[in-house]
Amino acid sequence: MRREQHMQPTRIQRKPAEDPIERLKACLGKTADVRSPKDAEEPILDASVRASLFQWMAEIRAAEELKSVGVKPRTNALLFGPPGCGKTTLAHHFAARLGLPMVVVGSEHLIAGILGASGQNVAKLFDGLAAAETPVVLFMDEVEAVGASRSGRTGGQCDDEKNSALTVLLRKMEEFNVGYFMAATNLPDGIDPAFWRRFNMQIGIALPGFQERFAIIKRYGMPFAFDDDDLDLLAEATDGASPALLRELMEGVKRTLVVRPRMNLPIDDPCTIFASVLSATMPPPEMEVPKLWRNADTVKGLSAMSWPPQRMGDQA
Amino acid sequence: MTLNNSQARLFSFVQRIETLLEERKGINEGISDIKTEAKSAGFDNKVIMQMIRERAMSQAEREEWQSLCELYRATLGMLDGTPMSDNARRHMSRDEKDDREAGVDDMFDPTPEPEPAASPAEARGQGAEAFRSGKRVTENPFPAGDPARASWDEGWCSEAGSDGMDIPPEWRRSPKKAEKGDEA
Ligand SMILES: Nc1ncnc2c1ncn2[C@@H]1O[C@H](COP(=O)(O)OP(=O)(O)OP(=O)(O)O)[C@@H](O)[C@H]1O
Ligand SMILES: [Mg+2]
Repeated sequence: MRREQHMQPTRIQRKPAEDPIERLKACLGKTADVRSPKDAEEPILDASVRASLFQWMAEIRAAEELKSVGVKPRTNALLFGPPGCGKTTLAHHFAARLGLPMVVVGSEHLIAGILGASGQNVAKLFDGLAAAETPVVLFMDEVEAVGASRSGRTGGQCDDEKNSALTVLLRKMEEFNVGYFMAATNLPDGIDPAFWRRFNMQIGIALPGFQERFAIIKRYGMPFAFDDDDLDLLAEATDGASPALLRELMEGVKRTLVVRPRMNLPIDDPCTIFASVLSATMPPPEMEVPKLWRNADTVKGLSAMSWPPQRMGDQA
Repeated sequence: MTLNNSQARLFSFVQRIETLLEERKGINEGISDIKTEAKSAGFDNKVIMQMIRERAMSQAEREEWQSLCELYRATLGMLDGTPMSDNARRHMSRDEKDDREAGVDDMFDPTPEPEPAASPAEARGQGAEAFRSGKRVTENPFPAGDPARASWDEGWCSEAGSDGMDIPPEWRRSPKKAEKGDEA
């Protein structure tokens, strides 16, 4: 039996965390955010992106067999495409499939005002990952902030700062061996060619097609069950919208449906509801504005919708 | 009405926040109403709020919290004769060097969980079964790097006939209408 213990004044004291996520958080501090594989959402993507990702996952599963023929699974990928199309969501899904935590690094974590600090931040990040001793999916967002083309720079102090960060990043990428590395950018044209080539894969994530928009609208419209014909109408009118914008639109509609009755306002006209949401959402600048946002007739066309939508389970 | 882009965005931010604030007000009122109702039904709202706090913790966090409370009570002489729980005892001795004879069982030792060892075929089967019972492909029970994790994923995917990123049926056209107009 255990010997008698003398009661010590106890503080809430944490042992070195056994949970890899806690350990990562402790080791990385403010240099990154850590997301659990449990929190991943399903991305809705087109077939070619899915195929690249599926092949990659198959390689990772076959790591042992690949070793026997002298090659390794690929370890990094560059994701590019317009904002809000699911680069972050895709990386998180990938991490969740492998059961790994995702470490998210944004440019705000890296770029510092003080000369030389950006490079140090990059180094600190990779040191923290090594210290945590647990495999991760490292996701670096807005990577153009460090990886912008060096030739396009004008030669100010700010450029030196980014150059030094990029040099450190290229070196650290080479040494990185605790998992998988994904970087994302909205500005593929501005990426430094040497940096671009350093990736095993460059995966473009484009705006969703009709079928994908249908699914995204239906998904974010839940728990309201919109009629399929109405979803067709919406999917058609939102050509050019990103999934993030579609989500914002449908969440706006849901909010409006809930809040307006509390403000003693009617909800019986779909056009009014959509118009009020549309006036408060906008695609980001430099992106195409879908029909629904720029054409008043398209909004009028929504009067054909069966309205108001039923809550799922209500009709049962 | 023509707004330039940054005006429109500013409006968008302001209005979105306003809507959420309005909702928050509604929700706060809703909570107060429930509390009033609970009180008139004879419940103590302080205790209810404490239970909500504890329910938000994971089992491990709750155990840690409770054992620390007990430990503090013991130190302050506030246990009032109730025995200390095993958790609190474990907590007391957690960081002490273990001077027990090796191999002798101790009543305070948690029984180790048996490893859910699974052969590739078993894991594949479990993955397929998980798909049939509506589990998501990311609900894989095996840890990262375990070959069984890969087999489970493969089993799930081959049963689903997809790469695990297919649009789930509930976000597709309802089945009755699918044949009518599934233009891509
Ligand atoms: N393909 C998708 N399927 C489903 N939801 C999506 C998809 N893409 C984006 N979303 C939703 O839109 C939101 C923003 O997406 P996400 O952050 O993944 O986009 P991103 O491409 O990383 O954008 P950014 O370039 O702005 O970082 C997420 O909350 C997600 O739920
Ligand atoms: Mg993103």
